[in-house]
Amino acid sequence: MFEELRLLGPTESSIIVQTRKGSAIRNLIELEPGDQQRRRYRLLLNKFGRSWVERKPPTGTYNCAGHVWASRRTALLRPEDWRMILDEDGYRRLGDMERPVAGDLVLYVDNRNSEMLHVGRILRLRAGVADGSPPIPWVLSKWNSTSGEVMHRAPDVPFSAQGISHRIEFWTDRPNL
Amino acid sequence: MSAKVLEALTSEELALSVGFLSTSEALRRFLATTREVAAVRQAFEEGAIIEETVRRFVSDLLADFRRGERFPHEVALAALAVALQRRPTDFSEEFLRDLSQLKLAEMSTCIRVAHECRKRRVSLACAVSKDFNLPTSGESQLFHVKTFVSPLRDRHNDSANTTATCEVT
Repeated sequence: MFEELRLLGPTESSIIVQTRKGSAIRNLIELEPGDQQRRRYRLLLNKFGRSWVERKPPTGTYNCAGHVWASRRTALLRPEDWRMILDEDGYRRLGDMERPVAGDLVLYVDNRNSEMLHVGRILRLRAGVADGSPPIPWVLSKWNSTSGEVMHRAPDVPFSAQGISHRIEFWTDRPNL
Repeated sequence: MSAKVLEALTSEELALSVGFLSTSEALRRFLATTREVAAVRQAFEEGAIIEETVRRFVSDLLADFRRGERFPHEVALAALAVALQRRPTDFSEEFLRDLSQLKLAEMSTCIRVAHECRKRRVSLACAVSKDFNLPTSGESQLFHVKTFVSPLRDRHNDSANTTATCEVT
């Protein structure tokens, strides 16, 4: 059914990405978004991102995991590879009593199958709304391979509005105290 | 009706409903819950869609393919892959196999979703064997139970109530 496309030959390109232990990470350098993807991104930004602050307009090349672990050079598309990176690069999940700091990671995990939906990097902690309330982590996110980068509060993500039950996990490469 | 349910897969509403979901499994699961995919599944079951209609639909979509540009109908093809995931036909297998085996940056998302659908299709269509020692007439007797799990009989639920048949020897 897709014979003509198959005859075009592969158009994918990738680079070498490895974990600290040397395991290869599959990746894809994504194409730049076209007008359609840019328009849809703006619509979604209006819908979900009223409180977000845009850092960078829509761009291709990388996704959330490529932003966090591949320095914006390529997209890392497989959540199973993200788990491998956490493991082989020496990350640990923060305990309940530990606060994230700038540079730590925030993971959004689907409660139905424990698969990661998204990863972002903590930018800073801002004071909570009320006196004595815990500070709120702000995150730098690239939502997908054609979105822009935005800054947002850690809980302010679109998944719940889409009916997806998820949990937030904080991970760090800092040593356990 | 048949053309309409397929055309609904190209709607802006469906594309926007996907939001910022980006992993192939999250997309597959989400699309499986949409009314557009449900309508296509139902049309297949009722025989309102024939293979030729789908081939023509896909061919029309692919007319918009441009090398070096993102394919504008990725969500439609991904949704069609999800709709076909549980259909026990050679046509469904051909669609999922051919789409998932492409290596095109222009349509990386629907390729990954098709790959996920195919993986689920294969992983569900498995046979599980287990031996049981059960007492019969005062003696213990070995039963070999082979369970065939079919992904193709579960028409309405994406994750549960998968039908199984057992063969006891």
